[in-house]
Amino acid sequence: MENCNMKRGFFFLRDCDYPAHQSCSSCGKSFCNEHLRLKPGISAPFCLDCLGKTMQQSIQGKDKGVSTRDNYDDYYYDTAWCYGYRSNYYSSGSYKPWYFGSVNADDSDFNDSDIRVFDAASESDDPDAEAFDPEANVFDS
Amino acid sequence: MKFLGAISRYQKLDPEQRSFIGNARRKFCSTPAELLEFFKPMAVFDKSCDEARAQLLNFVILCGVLSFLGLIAIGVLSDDMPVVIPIVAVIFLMIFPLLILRWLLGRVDIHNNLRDFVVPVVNLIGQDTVAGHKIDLELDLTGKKLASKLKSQKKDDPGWFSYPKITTSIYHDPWFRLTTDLVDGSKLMLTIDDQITVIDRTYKSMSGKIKSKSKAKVKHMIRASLALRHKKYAVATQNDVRQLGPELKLKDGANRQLFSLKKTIKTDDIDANVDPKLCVELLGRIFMTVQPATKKGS
Repeated sequence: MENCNMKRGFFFLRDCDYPAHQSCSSCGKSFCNEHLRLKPGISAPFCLDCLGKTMQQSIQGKDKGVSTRDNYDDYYYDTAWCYGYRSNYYSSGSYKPWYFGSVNADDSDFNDSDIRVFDAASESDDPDAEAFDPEANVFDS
Repeated sequence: MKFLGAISRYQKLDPEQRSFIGNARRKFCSTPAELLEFFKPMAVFDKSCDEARAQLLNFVILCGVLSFLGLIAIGVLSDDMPVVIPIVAVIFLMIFPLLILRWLLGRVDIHNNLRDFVVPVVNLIGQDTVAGHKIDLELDLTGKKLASKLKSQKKDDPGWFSYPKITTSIYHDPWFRLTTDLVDGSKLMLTIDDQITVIDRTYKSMSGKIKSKSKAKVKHMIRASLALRHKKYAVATQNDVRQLGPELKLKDGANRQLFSLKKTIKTDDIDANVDPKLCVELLGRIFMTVQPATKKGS
């Protein structure tokens, strides 16, 4: 069975390991149930990326149709909002997310120029990592 | 009638959520999903509460205008007074329950920072935490001008019947603290401290009247701190990260390097909410500056 095509995360993108169940009515790719929602007014399954982008357009008033922020109230405080927000944030050009995994430009919306990849050698665990320094804000004078 | 929706949403809140709205101050140690589950109904309620209060204010103004026009009509249509007077009286009397309802909704209103800042930030940070990992969150949305938050007060009073009299009060409100581990092993701390300067001025106008004015200025001091693991990220020198500007503080440890970046936003609106974008940008700037450990180290 095909795996979900969603890249989860905001500053760090990771592959979703769950099996795909349904296709997005907008982009046609397959996703797991966690990454699909029913689009208000249409009741068709949309992936979080496509739904999030529509929500952002709605919030910014670009979508002059039926959709308004009220239509998406249920999703505004939901994960779907994050996917729309990250799409805007990445496209603003101010951030290139880190990616944990192997990039395959054919399967992904992201290619080498969109993301930065960690070297596998740096993935080893670090049990002795020093704890967060609560005094960090001391130098906030 | 938006107030019916607001009341209905308030009744659907559980006692813990109602208690939080009442206290507006709490420490949490929960997963992002648990926090969102707790905050979401309050955020939806707060939005409908604000809309209901705005609508009620419009009704009050409308009733006031209609009452005034009604009084004029009573004067003009003196023959039909038995019909007009009760109508005008009902419209006028409606003002009081509407004002009471608006006041009651105001008592359960919570600062917009909850729905427009806290919920989006927890949502975004939650995307990059390990599944099931908890976030430590300290919130204080009780208000910015409480006596307990008064840091200093300076009174400039020239004496009896001498003007202007100026009182400058400075409040310190550390209302947001979030700490968690990110999926790359970094430790994150986000803090927002507000500094509110209130200037109350009593002066004598040109016509000799005594007038008072109050002016508030708010400084949002947003700090994003990231403790990045040496095994994951190359150790940066001050020279490497000079593009982050003088607001960056670097601190080296045995296993981690701490990046702390600050941004200050000034506003005249004491009720203005902080844009989550500001925190995201600070973190984004740090993550865009650092290099993976093996790329630079090897």
